[in-house]
Amino acid sequence: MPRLCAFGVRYNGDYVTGLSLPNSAATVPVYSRNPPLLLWSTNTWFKYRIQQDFFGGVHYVWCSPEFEGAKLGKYALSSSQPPSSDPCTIYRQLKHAVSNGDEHDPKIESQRNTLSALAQSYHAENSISDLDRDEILAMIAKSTVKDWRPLIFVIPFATVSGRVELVARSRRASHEPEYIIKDLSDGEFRIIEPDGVS
Amino acid sequence: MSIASLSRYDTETAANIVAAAMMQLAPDPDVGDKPTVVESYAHEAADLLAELKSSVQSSRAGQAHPDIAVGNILSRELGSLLMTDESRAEALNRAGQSGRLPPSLYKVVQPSAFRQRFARLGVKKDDVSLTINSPSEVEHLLTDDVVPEARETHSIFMRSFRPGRKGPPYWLLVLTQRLGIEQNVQSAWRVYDSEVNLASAERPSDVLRAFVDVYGVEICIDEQCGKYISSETADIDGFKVKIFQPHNMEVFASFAHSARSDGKKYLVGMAFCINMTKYAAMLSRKGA
Repeated sequence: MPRLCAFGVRYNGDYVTGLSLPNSAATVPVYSRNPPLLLWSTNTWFKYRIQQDFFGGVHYVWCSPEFEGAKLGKYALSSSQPPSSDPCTIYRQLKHAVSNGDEHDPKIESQRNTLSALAQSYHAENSISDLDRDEILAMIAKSTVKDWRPLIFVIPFATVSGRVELVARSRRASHEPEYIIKDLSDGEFRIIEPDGVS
Repeated sequence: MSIASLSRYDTETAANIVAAAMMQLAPDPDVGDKPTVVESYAHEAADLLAELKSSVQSSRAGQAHPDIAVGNILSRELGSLLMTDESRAEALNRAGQSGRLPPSLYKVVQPSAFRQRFARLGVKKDDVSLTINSPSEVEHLLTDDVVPEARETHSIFMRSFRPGRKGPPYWLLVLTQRLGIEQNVQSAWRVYDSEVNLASAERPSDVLRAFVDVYGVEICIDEQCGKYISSETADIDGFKVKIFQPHNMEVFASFAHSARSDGKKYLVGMAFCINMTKYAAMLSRKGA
């Protein structure tokens, strides 16, 4: 029995429940009456710089309406957000890896490899030049673990409400909501680096 | 290329297959929608992944994180397909010159003239290196899209230091000139927020201006005079420098110039002149 959401998702102007949520991403988020004030996303410093310097300052981010699901009441939305999708957990994992100099941390390795692949892929699509691709690849190869330290993006919902996409259930780690903003730009979010540089 | 099965393809195709295979390892890349190469080379990438996964199964790294082990093999292959050591060094130099290199990758060069001048002001070599390679803030003054002769090549790094019992906290402000992956240190200043009003400073250049406002003396370059002259606003045709230096005052003047194609000199970066007597007296009060 699919989980019945306690609120509706507005899709194409009509309210629908979680039972009839289409597989493709809805372009309007879950909150119908009480949208969140903020969306949270944890990203690495290196990914942020690459997107800032080479991809036109346009950021593709996965985000959550809550920073730390574990701090919420048992039945609250996002309270059971799994670690792989919880911004606070992701932050702590990355911070731990960086603090301990763990260059083989799976999350860091995964991002390193994915960014390398994307550099070649975007070059194949003529989105970036071969010079830019080479710079990205060379920097990734030479990067230190500190370059992958976590940054917390704090995104005012009102700024991006028209562009936030609810991730389809098939792509989410759980039934808890996760969102994608494909074109977040400077001025639409703030960065927090709680412990500063080390 | 070290993966034999890729030898049947040209370099660019092989690189695309490798990239597609790497993207297949990441169910959601977290950095963008999946690009078209994933679809275009889906079969070749799947074959490549199957080949590599079977070969890493016996390795220790492969057992712990098989996808990561395969990803690393593919990443190394991509690098060797697309770049040589020379092209990699060139790419890093380009990134460094344009200010895109992560601070940790810059090579810090502290010329002897800098060390001689600033060591006696309590500026430690390791603190300078740490500020550049692990800054709290960094600002690269650059105009990447302007003709090469007009490019600015200065960087300003800042890092907070807390000496504890040895003195109050301060910002170390380090000014450098970029040359490829090298950051050549020009000067380094301790900025105490009890001495310099940083309330409206939003970036390192604002901090520098605020610092110069307190400790600077007037400098003139041609008809442009002031405590701080920026090449962004200066309209300088020649390059005659005047510094107003009273007796018993030691000064440190910082300016750089280059030549246009017509032979005329122009200001690069910023020009300022610090009253070192006043600055050193402040450091002495702070116990530096």
